[in-house]
Amino acid sequence: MARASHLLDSSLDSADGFTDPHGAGAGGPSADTVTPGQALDVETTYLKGHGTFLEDGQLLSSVAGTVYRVNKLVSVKAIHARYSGEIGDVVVGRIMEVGSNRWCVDISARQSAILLLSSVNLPTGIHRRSDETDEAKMRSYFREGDVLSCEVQGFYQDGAIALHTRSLKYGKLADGVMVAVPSALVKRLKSHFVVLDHGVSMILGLNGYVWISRTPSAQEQKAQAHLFAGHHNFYDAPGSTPTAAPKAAEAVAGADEPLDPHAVREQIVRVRNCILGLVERKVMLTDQLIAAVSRTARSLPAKQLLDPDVMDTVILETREQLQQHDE
Amino acid sequence: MPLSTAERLFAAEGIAASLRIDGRDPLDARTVELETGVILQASGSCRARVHRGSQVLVGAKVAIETLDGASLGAGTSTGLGAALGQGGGRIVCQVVCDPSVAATGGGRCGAGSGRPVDDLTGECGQRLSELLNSAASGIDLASLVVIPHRVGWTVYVDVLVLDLGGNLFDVVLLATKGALCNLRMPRATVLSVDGKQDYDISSHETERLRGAEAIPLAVTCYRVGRRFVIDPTLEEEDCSDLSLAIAVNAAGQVCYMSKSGNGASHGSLIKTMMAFATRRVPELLRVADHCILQQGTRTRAIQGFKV
Repeated sequence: MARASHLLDSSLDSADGFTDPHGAGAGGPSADTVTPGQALDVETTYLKGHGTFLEDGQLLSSVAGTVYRVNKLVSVKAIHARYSGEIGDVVVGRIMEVGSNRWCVDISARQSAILLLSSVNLPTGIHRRSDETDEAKMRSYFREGDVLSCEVQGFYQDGAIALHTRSLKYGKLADGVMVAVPSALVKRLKSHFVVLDHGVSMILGLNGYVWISRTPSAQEQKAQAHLFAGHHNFYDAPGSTPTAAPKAAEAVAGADEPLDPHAVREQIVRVRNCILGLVERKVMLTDQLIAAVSRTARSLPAKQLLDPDVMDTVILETREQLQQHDE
Repeated sequence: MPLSTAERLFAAEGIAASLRIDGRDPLDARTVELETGVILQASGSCRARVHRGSQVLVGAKVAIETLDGASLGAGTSTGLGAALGQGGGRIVCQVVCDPSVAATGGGRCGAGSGRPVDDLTGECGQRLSELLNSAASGIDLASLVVIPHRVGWTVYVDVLVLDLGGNLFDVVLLATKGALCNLRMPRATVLSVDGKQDYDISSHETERLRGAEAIPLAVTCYRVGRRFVIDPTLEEEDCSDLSLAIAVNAAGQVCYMSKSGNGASHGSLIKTMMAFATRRVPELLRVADHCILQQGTRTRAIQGFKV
């Protein structure tokens, strides 16, 4: 465990310093991870927040997690806390239930989030009210088990989260793999839609669900926009049919030469293993850190990244590279 | 909750291309960590943890059971028929899932194995009980008899699933083997009092369960598309329509087989699976036995390997 904690501290620091340009803003984690009962470093005047308690005039943490400070308020967010949500957050979720005019979506929050039929773009693309025919066809838009990206729209009285997908960038996800990480380890970024190297893209949901897939080609992106304009069913995401698979070999956005689909798949697996490896070492995830680690890992077969020792080496190597980059 | 069609397709395509979603080849297993003697109150215990996979805790407890009318009344319990046949002694297995795991179906992203958790644990307990109470288990069940047809030892094997990450039965059997090898039961001696047989249980002398080292291990082959994989993740398990658990002993003999899933298969695939299992398990047993028998209460890792 000694080795892991060493990595933990150092990686947290480097991850934090590295993402400064993005501006975590007030209330960002201040690089310190605490365990239950650990004294918190506070100034003379402070406000006691969640996850803390007072003993013998000292402020102690009651959970294992990261310390957040907003002005004088000191709170600790547990690493395995459920996702609480903020308006505007990009999240990845899975449909759990189809209701009469709503979908219940699992986003690892305390309750299922709700996606109303009126908060999705209807197939014709024109802004219109949803009617009974739409209600009857709800399962053809999203069915149980489907994975989608969406945005937090607001909260209900009982604390349930309301979602919406009223933008071209949100919708059903296909041709990839989902990974669940603790939401406390996903850092708030400028954009949570990340394009990585070698034909891999990722949606880093703030709820801790990460979707890794191949980057759609320029044509596919155009085609999707076209579909959205209302000629076909927009909800048949690209790649959800077997016929779409050979398209992976075609041009990928930004690159003219076709990428080998097998190589893209292996890179997807590498990114997945890197994310899990970082999370096991309790490192805060950012787009640049994941990109850097998976770049270092590229020389290795994806399978080898399952070995904790190999993963340690990769992370240490990445850290050195990042430090050199900073200097 | 099942996976989406797109995810299932992605996983199945990966298996067809020999690149699974975690990068392994179809016939690669994950690393397992074994720890014996983890529960002080139990007569024998073991914990098995698969890297990013299932985690189970097995506790074994022994109790004297008198075969009288009362126990015959409760004859629905597994193994009792066999116990009566051989004059006493049986192994009772129960597999339960930790409530926090059961609530999510074990899934880490809202998707479970596609099967209810009770279904998985029930099937697992059934298989374990059938295997351990049969002659093929290698356990000397006759040594559990204290007074023939009257008194015998009952070994309770309680399995708690702490984390569900696919391939449950193989892990449960491995941990059960660990727990039974770790088992120390009090020595029972038979006395003759006034011409009637009675028994005495020693308070300090213990003995091992005879034949526990010979318990076979299982490899479950899951068919996905035209190929089969071993040690699947929960997602891959959901892609499979047929699985065959094959328990093999150190001599390479198949001791037990059990199929699950709705799929039907050609005999040749079953034969391939069996041939694979008989090759792989003796190797696995060698590593596992080394870990179980050599360790006291310390953790040792069994490296996953390819055959």
